[in-house]
Amino acid sequence: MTAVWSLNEIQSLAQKAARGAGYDFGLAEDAGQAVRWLLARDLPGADALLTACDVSRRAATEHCPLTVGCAWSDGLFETKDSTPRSVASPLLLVPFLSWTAQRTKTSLCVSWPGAAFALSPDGGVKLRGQTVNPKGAEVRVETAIPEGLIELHEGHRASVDCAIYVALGELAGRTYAPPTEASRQSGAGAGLTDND
Amino acid sequence: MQDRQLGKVNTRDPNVVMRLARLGSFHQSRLSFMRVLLRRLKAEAWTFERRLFDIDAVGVGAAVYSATGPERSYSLVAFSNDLPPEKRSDRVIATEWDATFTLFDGVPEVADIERLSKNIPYQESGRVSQSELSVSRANRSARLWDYVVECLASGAQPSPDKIQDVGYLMRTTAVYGSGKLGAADREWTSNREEFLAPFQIEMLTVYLIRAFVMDLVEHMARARAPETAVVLEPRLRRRFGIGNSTGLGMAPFLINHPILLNNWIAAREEALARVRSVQMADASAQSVFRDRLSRAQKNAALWTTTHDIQKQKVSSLVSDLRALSDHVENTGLAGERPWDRLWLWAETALSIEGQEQLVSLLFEPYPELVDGLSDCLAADEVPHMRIDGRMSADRLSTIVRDVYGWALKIDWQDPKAQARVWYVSEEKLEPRLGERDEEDLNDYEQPLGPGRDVARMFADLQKTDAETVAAFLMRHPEHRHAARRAQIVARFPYAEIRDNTIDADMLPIDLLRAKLSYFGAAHFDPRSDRWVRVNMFQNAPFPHELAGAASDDWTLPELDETGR
Repeated sequence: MTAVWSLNEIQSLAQKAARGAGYDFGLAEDAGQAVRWLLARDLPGADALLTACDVSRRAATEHCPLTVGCAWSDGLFETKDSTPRSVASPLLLVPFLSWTAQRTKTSLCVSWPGAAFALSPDGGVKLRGQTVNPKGAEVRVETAIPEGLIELHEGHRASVDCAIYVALGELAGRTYAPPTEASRQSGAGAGLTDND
Repeated sequence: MQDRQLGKVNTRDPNVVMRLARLGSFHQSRLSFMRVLLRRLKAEAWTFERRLFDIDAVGVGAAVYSATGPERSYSLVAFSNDLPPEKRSDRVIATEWDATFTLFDGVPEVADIERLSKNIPYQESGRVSQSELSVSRANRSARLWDYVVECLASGAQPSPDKIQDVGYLMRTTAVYGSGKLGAADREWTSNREEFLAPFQIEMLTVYLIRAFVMDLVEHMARARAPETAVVLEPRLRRRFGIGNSTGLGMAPFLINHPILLNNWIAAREEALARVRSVQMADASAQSVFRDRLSRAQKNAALWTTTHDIQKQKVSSLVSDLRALSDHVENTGLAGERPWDRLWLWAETALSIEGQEQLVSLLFEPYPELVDGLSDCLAADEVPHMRIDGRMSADRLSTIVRDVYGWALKIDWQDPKAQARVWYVSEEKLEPRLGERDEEDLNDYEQPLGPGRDVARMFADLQKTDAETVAAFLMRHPEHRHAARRAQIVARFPYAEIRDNTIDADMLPIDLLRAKLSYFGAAHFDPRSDRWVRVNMFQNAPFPHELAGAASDDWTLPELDETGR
């Protein structure tokens, strides 16, 4: 079963979930932005983040889509024709490469077996293929753009499977401090009469 | 108003402006969001209609108030309740309220109202859709509500003094926008002319809530005694605002939105520099200033609070305004650059509270210099969230030295410097502030102490052999948040609060007041160091009065016949 959320709700959830899964705050912020970007284009960004947050996959940072994505959008890698790279949950890389395409004013194609995304400097996104959200793949980034891709449009709502939402919510929950009497007493307005 | 352009005064140094004590002394001004809203509604001749008022004698039912502008309509859908007093709480942990609201995008059909009636009264436990732009709730003032109903029912007007003591019949305890609870994202409406300035949806919601609340109190008086009941006399009616209780939930906002904060402050500082640069003040400008100064004195005299720090500040404000008034009477406003001279005097003669009140007063005579800056208040933050990884690590260090010099001077080993922890509680998902020594909260700490976080990054930058920011962040992903922030702050001079927001002596109410002053709130009344009560739209013309009211001249109380 899927439900519809605002993009702000999804971004906030994704950021907290990434933080709850152990990512540093800065990376978690990028995760929130990336998941929002994907869901605005009706791509399963929440599912992809959940895969990436899977602890066993987080073991090696060189395979982590958030770390690799940030490195790319930061400009650490050459954008052109890089060698294939094994990345977990590679769908999460796509927003970072769109931002890279915009920054470098270069069209980029990111692909893996079964899917190719064309990312243009004006922020446009095109897709070919069905395997948009594999658990992991050999990813290529090239400047040559293949033919026959279909434009993806940006929307304002996010459809997310409820089970995925709940799972991310559990990760997000790790960022919340358990209640204590001290925390109750230090809340705004606690212990004061406010009924006037 | 001639020759204003000869040699413009500089804007103030961020190191002066962006201190918590100063931000916590801001007052509403021509750039406040409520005033921006009402200027637009009046200039564009928006029309207002009460489409539904189906509320019974004890106050239970629904109402719809629509506002229609040149292109679109918006409707406040209100659900009114008869809440037993013991259930009334302003805290975010409450589960029932006297009234709940949503701002609907357009004019709702019966089916919309039916759907909303199953969600809005439950607030956080309900869901709304992209057709809803805000979700809000309010409680009656126990001090004033019954008294006013009683007076009106018996055919009498309530006492002005009693109205002044409280200032509102209901106070909102939350006004949610921007996608919360499934409502429309800000991006959905941000291209609409009427919502270009910040928080216009929330301000329109509260403005319509105020109209509803006044209708409701008169309705209940009529229901109680149809034979004798009267309505409020219009001048008295305008003295009611809408109260607002704001706690820690709002405090992190200014830290989490550095570009927005920059734009708010930068617009205000630009307006101040423009007015200080005016060569000669003509008779009309002098007269407007003197009038607003007298009214600000009355406003300060009416400002009541039981909070010790705020009492002290209000008392300073009263004596500052007296000194300002004496100074203006003694030296006059003739001659070259009168406002700049006045300002330079104020910097040495007045407390921060009085100085910041003067900033707002200086804007009053000059709508043509100030009001257009409201177009600069909004911020599209997304394009600035990308880190420039090709920046050299040395350059990042230089930025830190330039902008965070204050933070590098703090001894972060001193427990007092890191005494506080910002965190989110599991219980109510609300930001809270804990004591690091007393609770085990480090694992839950939110990045709301930029000074410390940037100082930590700086220590590693000093040791790194990484040449670029991208390479540095690969080795130190823990500094990614601070690096992003420092790069933003380097581009936007007023983006960072240049004070330690986790210090033992930090007062969250300073953050709250800064934000609420931009809303246009008045009479800040802290109820503790982390919770403040304010009044919104007090003295404002009601929707049906807007067309005939003076333009943007409602925020300071009017003087009576004796000039007091």
